[in-house]
Amino acid sequence: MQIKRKKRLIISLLLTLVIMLLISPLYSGANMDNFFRAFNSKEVRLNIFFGGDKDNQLQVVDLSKRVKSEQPDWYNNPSWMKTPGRGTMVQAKIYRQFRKYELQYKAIGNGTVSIHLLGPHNKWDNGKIYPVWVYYKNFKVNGKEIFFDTKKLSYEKGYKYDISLKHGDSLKIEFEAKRYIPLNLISGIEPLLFISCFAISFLLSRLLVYWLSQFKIKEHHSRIDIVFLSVFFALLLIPMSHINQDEKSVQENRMLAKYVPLIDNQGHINLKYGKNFEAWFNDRFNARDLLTSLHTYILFNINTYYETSKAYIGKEGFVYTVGMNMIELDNRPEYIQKYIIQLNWLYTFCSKNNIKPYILIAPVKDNVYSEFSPRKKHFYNNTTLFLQKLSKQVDIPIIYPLSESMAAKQKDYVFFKTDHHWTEWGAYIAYQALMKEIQKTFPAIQAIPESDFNVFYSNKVRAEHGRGFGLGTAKRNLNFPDKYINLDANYKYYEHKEEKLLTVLKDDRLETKEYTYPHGANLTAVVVGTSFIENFMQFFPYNFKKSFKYRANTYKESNLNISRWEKNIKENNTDILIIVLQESAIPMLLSLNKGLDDK
Amino acid sequence: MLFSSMTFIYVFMPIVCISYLLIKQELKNYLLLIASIIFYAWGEPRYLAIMIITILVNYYGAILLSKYRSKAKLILTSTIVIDLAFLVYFKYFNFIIDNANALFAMDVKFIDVIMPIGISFYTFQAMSYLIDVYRKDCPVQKDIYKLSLYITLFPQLVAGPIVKYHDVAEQIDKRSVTFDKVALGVKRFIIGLSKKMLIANTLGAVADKIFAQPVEQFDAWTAWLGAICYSLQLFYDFSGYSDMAIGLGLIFGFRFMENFNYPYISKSITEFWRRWHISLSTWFKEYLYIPLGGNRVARSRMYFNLFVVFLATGIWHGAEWTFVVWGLWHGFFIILEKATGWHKEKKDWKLNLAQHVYTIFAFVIGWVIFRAPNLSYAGDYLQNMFGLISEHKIAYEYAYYIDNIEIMAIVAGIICSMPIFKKILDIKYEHKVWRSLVNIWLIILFILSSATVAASTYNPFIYFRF
Repeated sequence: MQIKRKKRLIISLLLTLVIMLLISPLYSGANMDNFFRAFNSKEVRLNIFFGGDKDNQLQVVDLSKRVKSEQPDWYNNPSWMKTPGRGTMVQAKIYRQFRKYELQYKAIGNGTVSIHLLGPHNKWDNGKIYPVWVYYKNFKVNGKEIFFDTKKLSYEKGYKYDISLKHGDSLKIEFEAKRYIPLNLISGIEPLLFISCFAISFLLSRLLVYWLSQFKIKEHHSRIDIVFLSVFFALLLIPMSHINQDEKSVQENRMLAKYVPLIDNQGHINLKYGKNFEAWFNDRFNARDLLTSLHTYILFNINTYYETSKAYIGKEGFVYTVGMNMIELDNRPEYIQKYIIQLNWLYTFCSKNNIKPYILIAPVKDNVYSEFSPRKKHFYNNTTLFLQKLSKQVDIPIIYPLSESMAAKQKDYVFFKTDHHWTEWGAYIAYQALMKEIQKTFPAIQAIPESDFNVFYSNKVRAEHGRGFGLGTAKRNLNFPDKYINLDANYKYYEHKEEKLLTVLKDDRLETKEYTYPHGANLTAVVVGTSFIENFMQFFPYNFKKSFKYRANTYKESNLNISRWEKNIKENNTDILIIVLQESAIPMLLSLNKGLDDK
Repeated sequence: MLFSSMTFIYVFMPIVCISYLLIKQELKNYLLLIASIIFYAWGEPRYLAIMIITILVNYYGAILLSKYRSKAKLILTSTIVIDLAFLVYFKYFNFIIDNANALFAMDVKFIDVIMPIGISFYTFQAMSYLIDVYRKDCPVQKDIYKLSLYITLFPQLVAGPIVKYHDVAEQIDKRSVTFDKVALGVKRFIIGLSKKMLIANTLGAVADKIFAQPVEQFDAWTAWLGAICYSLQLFYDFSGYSDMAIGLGLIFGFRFMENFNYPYISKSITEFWRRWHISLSTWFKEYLYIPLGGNRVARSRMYFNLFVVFLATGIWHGAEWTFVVWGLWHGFFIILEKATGWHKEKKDWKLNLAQHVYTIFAFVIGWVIFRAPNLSYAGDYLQNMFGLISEHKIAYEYAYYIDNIEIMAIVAGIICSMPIFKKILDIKYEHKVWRSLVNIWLIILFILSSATVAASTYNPFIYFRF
């Protein structure tokens, strides 16, 4: 009996320890992760490598206080770098609160600068690096925001950003950083709270262990089943044990559901309480990331390809978005007739207002990169045939740059690997094809040559209205660990050399933009379309004195009904109207004038 | 609230189970009643009123029935009509209007109504109580809380099993909650959850992909794949829910009847219905087939009785012609078997094999009719299965429909549809290693199922549809 008591006491103490760890935020303000990562971070480390030529280097112009910048010998043409060049090592002291750091350099030579944001380089005695985390946020390069949100980085899990520089260019790096404080668990302990929590945990554990042991000692039940039931009920309590208080999920790109009470302040009963509660709990339960990652991990390792209801991953890290696939268009005359009616109406509308209309159809990613898609269709893609038939019967030029995109993908990525949009290179190819067509009517207008742009590469995705860089929509929809996705792709980006002369008036709510460019042709162009217009507008506005971008699919609406912009089109004295859609959105053409359906 | 939701498994269930195990015996029924009402009102509280009316109608109907025995038939009929009126209104009204419009060229508008969850199940349970009292199989229940508990009891409220009153009346009054029952209940619940999340949902995705396409876009093999996946999905989904219900019942001290007994090993459709949705088939047997005369009548009358029962079975499953035809399809085979004696035990293994093959064909084809959105699609689909479609326009490679995880689910589904692991929960205490391994395996299954449930909460936002 004495032995059994000892056993029960030991089990009670062990259980107390587990409970104390679980409830550590109650008495220490720290979390479990901190407990296990007991090394303090005191500095940040940036490795900046200027590749391209062995004489390349970055000359210090200005540095914030607390920042040390060196060019050590080991970083001079290092053998492990793919190109020759010279590296700079930056170290800066950091504190408990975020502080801002600025570094300014001048480029000596032409090439690409790789900036690595890291944690300190600390090693164990056996030479292995031990993980020390640092928080970074608000990272900007030459004034351009690269990321705003807080990132936790270490020497081994850093963040890389590339930028092309020419001799004499300046490089300004800005960021904010602070310590990752792992020893809060001990240093931040509230003694009275700790004692209270410990006492309550111990009493609860003891009660539970003694209660459970009754089943064995008095009722002679199977110990195996006692352990089984204990584990089962313990597992049941984990999701409720901690509720995530974040407002937003970066990974899911949305606000997390808020708790809506059963009875509001005015005493009204919320009849949707059940649904509200489920939404709130589903977004915030403990170990949510762990469980969803486990699900992903299993599927990825068992299946030959991985998919969710919104995206699927193909070969070599190509991620495809569901709903952005190839579309099977009905080629029968009666269906084509529906499109003809709509396009004839558009043509008449444009003719009355002295406007020349064009339609640019972007091929879908599945079509251009079908070799990487696991869902490759057996049969034809009939878009080409459909558009050929349609083109013959309408007076509006329809441009579908599939063959151009297929050829262009040999040089650079035409589509992002982790997003369904075309890259700026892909958009540029389509832009060239469109301008060739426009030139037939407006001989003075021609595609702007690549030499008028500064070209740079990045492994991040920029495709949407906000013009920010990210991982891509398809990647987000996949909920997939980064380590399994090859994110090493470098996408070609363009910035016009006279970008400063372009005036842009934005309405972010409607996702419209008005561009004014003094050296453009004395014409006004309006571009209406889906998100594929965003990268397209990196080029197009430089051809015209005035141009407008109207998004057909916004948060509130998603149709091409021209009446939405009819007033603007007329008031702007539009000369050219361009509709830009991707292949999968061709049926949107049937909504140009909804009233025609009723006639 | 669904059993396979995070809120049920990780909020509702632990709170209710732990509270139930800790409170006094005399309060247990009240706790279960409150929990059942919360469970029912969770998604759509407005429909709680329908359930309350059903309880009141049947409670007073049974009291009146026992009091005025001379008018018992009238009271029974009136009460059943009221019960069925709700069911018809919410489940079949639009179906009736649709067909009346088509038949008589009318233009009656559809009603905007959502079917209250579990209405088919609790209506049949309420009717079971009333008929049992009418037949004097059970005394009238004067405690309205106990009758409410019988009708609303949440473990079997949504998807059965349909508990007949005479099976559970005593347990409502008195039942014991024991350690062994709780342990067994938890195990049954985990098995049910795993059936639903790991097999049914995985194969359901395959069936959904195939049945979502025009028939000419997939070949005969794919059509068979869709039919087999759907057959397995339906079995594991439904029997998974029943397992969870039976498991929860055990945790609360109830012993509900088994609802499935390896139906896919049947050698005839007659046997199939002794193994499939047992609570429904016995309900129809006791409350419809036998009152019609059962099989103690002339042969032609017996066939008519069977026809009526299977017509009712089809209609019970849903307001679509596909369900009606599916019910009659099964009725046809049962009548055929009765007429030929084909369902009887054969000694020849070749005949046994032929019986198995015949039964599998019959129920798989039946499930295609059951799953199809309409009879026209069902007809085309069946033609495709038997290579009767002349021209295909194949849309996707085979890999689009099925990957390794689906293959594993099919293999597991086929193996577990046979009584190979039937005794897995009955391993004796002495076999400690086996018992431990089973428990560990169950915990792993629970974690895997939870991961699948949790993954369904991942919901990235994209409003840029194009």
